[in-house]
Amino acid sequence: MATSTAKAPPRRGLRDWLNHLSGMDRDRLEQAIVGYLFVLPDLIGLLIFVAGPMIMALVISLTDWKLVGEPQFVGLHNYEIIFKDPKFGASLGRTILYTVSFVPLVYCLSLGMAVLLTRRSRSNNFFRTVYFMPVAMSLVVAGVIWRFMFDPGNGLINELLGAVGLPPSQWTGSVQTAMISVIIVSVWKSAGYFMIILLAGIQDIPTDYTEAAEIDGANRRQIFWHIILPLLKPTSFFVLVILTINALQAFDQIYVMTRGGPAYATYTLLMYTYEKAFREWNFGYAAAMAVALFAMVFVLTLVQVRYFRSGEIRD
Amino acid sequence: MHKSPRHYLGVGSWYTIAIILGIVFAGPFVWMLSSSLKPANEIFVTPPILISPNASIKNFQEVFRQTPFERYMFNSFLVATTVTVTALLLHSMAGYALARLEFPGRRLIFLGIISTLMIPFYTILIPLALLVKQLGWLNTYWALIIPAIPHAFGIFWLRQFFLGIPQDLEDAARIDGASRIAVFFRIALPLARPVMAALAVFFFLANWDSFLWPLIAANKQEMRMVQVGIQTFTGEHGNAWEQIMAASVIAIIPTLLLFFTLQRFIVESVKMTGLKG
Amino acid sequence: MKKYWRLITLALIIALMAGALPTALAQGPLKFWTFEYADAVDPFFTAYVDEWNATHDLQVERSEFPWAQYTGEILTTGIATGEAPDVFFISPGDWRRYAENGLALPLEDYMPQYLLDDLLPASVEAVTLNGHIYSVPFEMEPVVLWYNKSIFEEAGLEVPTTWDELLATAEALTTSDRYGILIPVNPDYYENFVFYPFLWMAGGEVVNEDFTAAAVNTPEAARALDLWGTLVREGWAAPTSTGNDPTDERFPLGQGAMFVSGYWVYGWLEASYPEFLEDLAVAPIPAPDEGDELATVYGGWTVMVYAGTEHPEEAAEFAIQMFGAEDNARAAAWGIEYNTKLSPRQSVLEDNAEFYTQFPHDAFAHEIFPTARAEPSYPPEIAQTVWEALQDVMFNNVSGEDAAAAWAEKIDAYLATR
Repeated sequence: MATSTAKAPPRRGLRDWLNHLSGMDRDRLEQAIVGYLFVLPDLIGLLIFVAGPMIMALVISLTDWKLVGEPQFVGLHNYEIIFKDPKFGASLGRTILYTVSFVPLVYCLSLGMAVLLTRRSRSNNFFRTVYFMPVAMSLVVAGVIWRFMFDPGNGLINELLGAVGLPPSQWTGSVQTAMISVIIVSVWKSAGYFMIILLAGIQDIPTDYTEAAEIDGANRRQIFWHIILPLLKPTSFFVLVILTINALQAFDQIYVMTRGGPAYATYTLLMYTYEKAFREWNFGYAAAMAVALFAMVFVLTLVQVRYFRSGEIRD
Repeated sequence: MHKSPRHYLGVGSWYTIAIILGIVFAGPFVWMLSSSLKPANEIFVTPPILISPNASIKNFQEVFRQTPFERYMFNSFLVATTVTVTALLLHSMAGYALARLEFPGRRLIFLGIISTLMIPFYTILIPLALLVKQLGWLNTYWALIIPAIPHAFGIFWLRQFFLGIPQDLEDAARIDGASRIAVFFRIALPLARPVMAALAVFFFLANWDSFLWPLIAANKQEMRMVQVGIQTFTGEHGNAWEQIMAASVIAIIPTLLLFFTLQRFIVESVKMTGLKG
Repeated sequence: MKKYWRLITLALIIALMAGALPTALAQGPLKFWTFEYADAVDPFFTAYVDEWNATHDLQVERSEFPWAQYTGEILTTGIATGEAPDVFFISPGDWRRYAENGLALPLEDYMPQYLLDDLLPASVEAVTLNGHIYSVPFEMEPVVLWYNKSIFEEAGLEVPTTWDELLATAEALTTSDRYGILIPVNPDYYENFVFYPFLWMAGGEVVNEDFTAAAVNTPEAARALDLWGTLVREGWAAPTSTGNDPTDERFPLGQGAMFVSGYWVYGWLEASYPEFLEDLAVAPIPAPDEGDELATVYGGWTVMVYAGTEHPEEAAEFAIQMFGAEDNARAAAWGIEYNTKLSPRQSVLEDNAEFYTQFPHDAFAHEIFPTARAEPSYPPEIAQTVWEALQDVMFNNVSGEDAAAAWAEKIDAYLATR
């Protein structure tokens, strides 16, 4: 697996760094030059089109900008409000609830589907395309169809439940079940996407490993748990980070189902941020919430990086 | 070869699971497909009518009559293809460098890049619109294409992939005197085919279907992209669902076709050939 | 080797072009923005814009935007980036914010006298703040109780005229695959809009006349809240939305016996469910008790001129003449030919007397219209307290009384910050 043996140079001041660069052997120098060259185009793009606007948002978060008139500098005032705002806490809580259900569900389901469809065959091609369909479907259309299927009166899902003798549910029509309903739809919409990522990751595992294990008499379950899953770690890390980020920013897929209702049962942090910005024009506060969300996701990702570090890279 | 799960699950239960999942995943798609051929008043009837006796292609004709939908598709196609091709090249280079090349500041750059994933697009919408306006790009393809190219998702994934390729392959080429760049293009990049194929689908899909940014960046009708075009059929009091369904069916075809064609690369065992060849 | 370098250079050039492509946007024509109208409505705008462009030096360019993003993302970003339109349609929900923040050009100096005389005083009042007219009203869409005649006949029931009857009828008509009544349940401006007549008929108001304090902590407001709460909690009203509260598909599909919605329902059914028109009947929204005064709300967008426009005269003329030309033909066509809407110009009703003898236009013009009041324009901070109170009674088992008290508290807290 990953074995980049060279130690990363210690981080020091610019002069040391330049000395270090000039003192490198030819290969290290080539690596550095090619490395920067390869990273630069994307880095510049990200700096201009993502980091730049984000810094503007950061500045806005220190003002009371309300779209009209000059923004006034208010320091950390907006951040102070966040901690006193019960709506922020409540929508954060719901967002976390959504995240801790959505992330493992999608990961397990898409991993299962990927394992189910690993082999190249015509029927697998067909099923893969079918599982990918929700990913390609437009949210507006998926939203309206699921709304009708979830209708507590005579929606398709309650009819099916009735047919097999199960009691009907209110689904999106009750605060108890609304969150479950939107999680079902979100999982349905995303599983195919992450199935693809995991499929590609499984292909990445050299087959001699699994073959050797088979010769040693390992059964399929052992191969999955002891060979495939550990070797899938870099991909799993990627999938879990992306899933977590997506879940903490959940908005559209829930909005088309419930508009955040009933009674705020599915109202997420990003919906609140959106409302503050685009409906109330309270851009300073909205930006502060976005920065707070950013900080939380960042810390969470660092934790994930740490957790996965062991199997991923040694440097 | 990996033995298929069919081997130990048994063909019968393998198919049962695959088909049940298939019904759940394809159900709404079938609903959409069937609705695109129906008159408005049959779309939401319960139980759903699968094949309507009144089925016709009228909705599709209406989509093209009411909007220059072929123009929207051209725009989406142009933007999605350009972004996909450029992004694949740039991201694979960046991902490779972050995974396989030693250079000062690498970890920091990597963290910086993935941290851009954590920014909700709504937060930067207005600053980005201001920036693009300053550049004079509003209502141009530049506005639709350039800001869509840099994206941490692909860089991140490709980095994770390149972390996992065996060092000996590269070492062998290095001993033969190949430069780092040559190693990337000749050894590493061909190995990344599964990921690149998957990313091609993802990038194409994301840009083909992108909605909010094109809506802000280009308000001229001839600059609209597909999803913005589909929104034409929504309105103040209700939506023309029959046309939305038809337009969505048209819109989904290129992505599904692309996926269907590229998936053989996604599931090909490149590593195998790499090691033995 | 060289090949790769060339590739990389190319990629670099593409990435660097970000800073290298300046284009100066020439000073554009007059920008006129609306949300996306149906294909059949477009000719109305095309004809007017063409006519204008043929007779004026300053050309007008119209842009349409998706309904769902029009007032949120589109107008907001437009103003923020200095790309705001000169003339645009504005919803009652957003009107006050634009007027209060100096974004709307006062139009009273441009309004011709004949128009002021022709417009219903109430509709002018609805767009007036501190003595300034901030937009031109051009349509009215009152809310009513639509019902399915066949279902009522089958059950041998009459259309309800009091709230007790409304509850009893909704209960009686609810079956395992049909709701007694459909009301909007999505937490949104539209839900508030449909709720206002219930609040008003019970004798409640959202805020006091001076806009300084909440007026909802009353038994009247509680009663209106309880009515909606009961309907949903008992399962007589659908607890879910189809995503389109103004045009709920379940009504023409026979899955809802009554439907509280607006005048537009007729046009929508005509286009999408023509065979259902035979079952369609209309009645005023019931008042709480026998003999109580009927009331309803009417919605409708108005046309506003951006205060920052470089061509105030032309923009105002363009905005006013669209529906306010001396010849009221265009104003009439908007409501009769292109939409099912009423015109706030009284002469339109008079000049098209025959049209307003047909079902259901007769009921709207003569029965409903006199009881209609313009949708009030509250800031978003107040608007959300309305749907929060409603959501609480419908979904959180909160009593009308408690919900009203909490509602008043939230409004007062907001008003204190103004």
